[in-house]
Amino acid sequence: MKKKIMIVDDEVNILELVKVILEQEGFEVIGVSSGKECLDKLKEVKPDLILMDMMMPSMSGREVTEKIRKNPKTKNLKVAFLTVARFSEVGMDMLKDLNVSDYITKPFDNADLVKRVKKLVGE
Amino acid sequence: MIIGKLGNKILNAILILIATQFLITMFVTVSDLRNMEESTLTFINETMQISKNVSSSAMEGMGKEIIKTKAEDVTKELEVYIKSHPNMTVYDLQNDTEFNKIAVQPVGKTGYTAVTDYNTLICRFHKDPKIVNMDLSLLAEKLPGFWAIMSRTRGGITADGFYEWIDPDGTKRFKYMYIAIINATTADKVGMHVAATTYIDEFSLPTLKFSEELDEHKNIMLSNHEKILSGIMNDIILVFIFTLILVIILTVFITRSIIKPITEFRRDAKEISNGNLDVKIKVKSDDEIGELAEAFNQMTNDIRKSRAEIENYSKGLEKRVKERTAELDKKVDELTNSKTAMLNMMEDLDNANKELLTSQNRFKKSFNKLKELDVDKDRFISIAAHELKTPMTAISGFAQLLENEKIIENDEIRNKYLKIIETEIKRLGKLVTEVLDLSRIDLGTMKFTVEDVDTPKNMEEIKNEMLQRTKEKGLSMNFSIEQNLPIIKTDREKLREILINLIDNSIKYTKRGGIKVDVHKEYDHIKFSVADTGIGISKKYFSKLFTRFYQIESPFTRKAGGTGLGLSICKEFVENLGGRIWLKSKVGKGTTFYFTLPLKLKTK
Repeated sequence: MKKKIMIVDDEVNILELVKVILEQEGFEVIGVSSGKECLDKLKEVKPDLILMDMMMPSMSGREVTEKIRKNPKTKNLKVAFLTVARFSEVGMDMLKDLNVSDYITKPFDNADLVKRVKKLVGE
Repeated sequence: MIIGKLGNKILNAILILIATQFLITMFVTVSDLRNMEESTLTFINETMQISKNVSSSAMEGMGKEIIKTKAEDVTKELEVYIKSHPNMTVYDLQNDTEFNKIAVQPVGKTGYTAVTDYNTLICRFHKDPKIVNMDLSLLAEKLPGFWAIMSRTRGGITADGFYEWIDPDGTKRFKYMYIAIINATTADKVGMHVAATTYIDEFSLPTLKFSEELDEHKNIMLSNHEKILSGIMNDIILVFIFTLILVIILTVFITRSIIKPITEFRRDAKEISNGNLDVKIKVKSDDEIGELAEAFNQMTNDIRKSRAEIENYSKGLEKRVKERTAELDKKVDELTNSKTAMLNMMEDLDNANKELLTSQNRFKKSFNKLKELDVDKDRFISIAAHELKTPMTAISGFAQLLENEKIIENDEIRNKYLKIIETEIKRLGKLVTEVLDLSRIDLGTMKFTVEDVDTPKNMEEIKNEMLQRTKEKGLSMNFSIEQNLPIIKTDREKLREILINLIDNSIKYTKRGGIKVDVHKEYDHIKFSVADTGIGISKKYFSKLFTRFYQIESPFTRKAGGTGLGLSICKEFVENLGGRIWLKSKVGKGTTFYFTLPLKLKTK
């Protein structure tokens, strides 16, 4: 069965990019462009990994992750940040508190992205 | 001021004394007189009472005698008759006129004699025919007094006494009865007695009149006494009034002779107290007041002498004081000079301190501003970083994908990816332009080139450029440019940038509806407006809108991309070109940005 990856990013082109990259590797990619869309979608599907952008209008990636962790149905889903923000801006504490599994910076190397995603979903 | 206050006091005292005297005298006299009268009256009453008693008992005695005599006389007469008619029974005698005449005889004015059998106590001869042959014991209840006397005669015993009698009209009166025994018995051996009764007050009545006369006499005497008494009272009052007048006159004279010197004394003393120590009290009366005046004058004299001494002394003092003051003044001047010097120094210090504070404040302000700017800078940097890195991510990602042979050969996909790269590069370009513009403005190296600008032509070019963008979003685009717009002298490139920025913003923040651009002449400038039907901006953000890096949300929640530099750059451009920029907006309805450019450029 195909592994499901959810990508959350308000930038349409980024969504498109990640979708293409990961679909090439045989993943099923679900793209959502806001925190609200993400939470709604999580009611229907259970992805193996959620790639979360941090800088989004309305609800930030951090807020969305908090909400995911609060909901008992979704609190154990794997989340990784995919963001322009530097690590120093985010901090180890935030990652620990929100139980974020990985932190990938933009811009990224396509192959590197694939490698890390495969590692996260256990391939 | 006839007798003065003192005189009034004395007069009042004397008047009170006299009044008290008079009242006491009056009271004592009256009460003594009254006592005397009372005892006299008592004496008179007692005497009258005694004489009344004496006369009444005398009269009474006399009455009793008359009644007794009558009874005995009748008894004797009846005795003779009975003895001279030994064969007559009671019944016979009852029918005998002669005997009846003797038996029933008047007693006094209203009484009568009656003859009764002293064994049976049945009345045999009586004035009232009803009583004849009546058993007198039947009267025992009605006339207990009467029966008490009568019953004693049973068996032929004499008796006498008073008894109560109630007249037909109800009056209580006293009757006296004497019963004498007839020393003879009738043929039927009946023994009888004669009872004579009458009202006793028949005899005491005259004494009543006598006592009445006495009473009248007493009353006459009493009224005479009253007249005498009031006469005495009047006399006392007259004496009192006369004495009062006399006393008042005397008092007035005496007090005046006292007050006059006192008044003079006071007048002179007042003058002295006003300061005129040469005045002497002129009272020379031969009494304590005169002595007081002498002593007072003495005292004034002494005061005058000591005053003169004091004056001399104080004059001396004045001189000494003046000398000392001069010396002190000199010293004070010296001190003042040094004080002034010190004050000046302090003032200088104060000023220096103030300057220090001011520069400290300025430093604080600049420091705070720097901190603010630092924060803003950090925000700007993170936003800028995002705006930089996001397109770069897309460009790098898609470029990497394009290395794949399969993708290059697929025309559709290849073109799509290339388009995306193109768009993102443009976006980067915009960011770079904005940042460069800003730094040029800050450094003061921003160049403004003034040239003749054909507005309609330029608007047309801009319209064409933006049309694609509006079509993509499904929005309408409308340009309204006034006919025969004059040529403006301004920087063409900057004008273009301003318009593109405003229109870009409008497109970004409008979901449905459209953009309307208007250009027309107003007085000495051209007014541009860019109106949209977008989400609108709340009034509270208006003032901050044109500041640098300002975005309505925090960095982590950008609304629709952008660095927040656009509007601040627009403002700098507009103002540098001599115009004004402002906006009107309603949340939920839309926003309109306005800016003006003068026909002839006035640079700052």
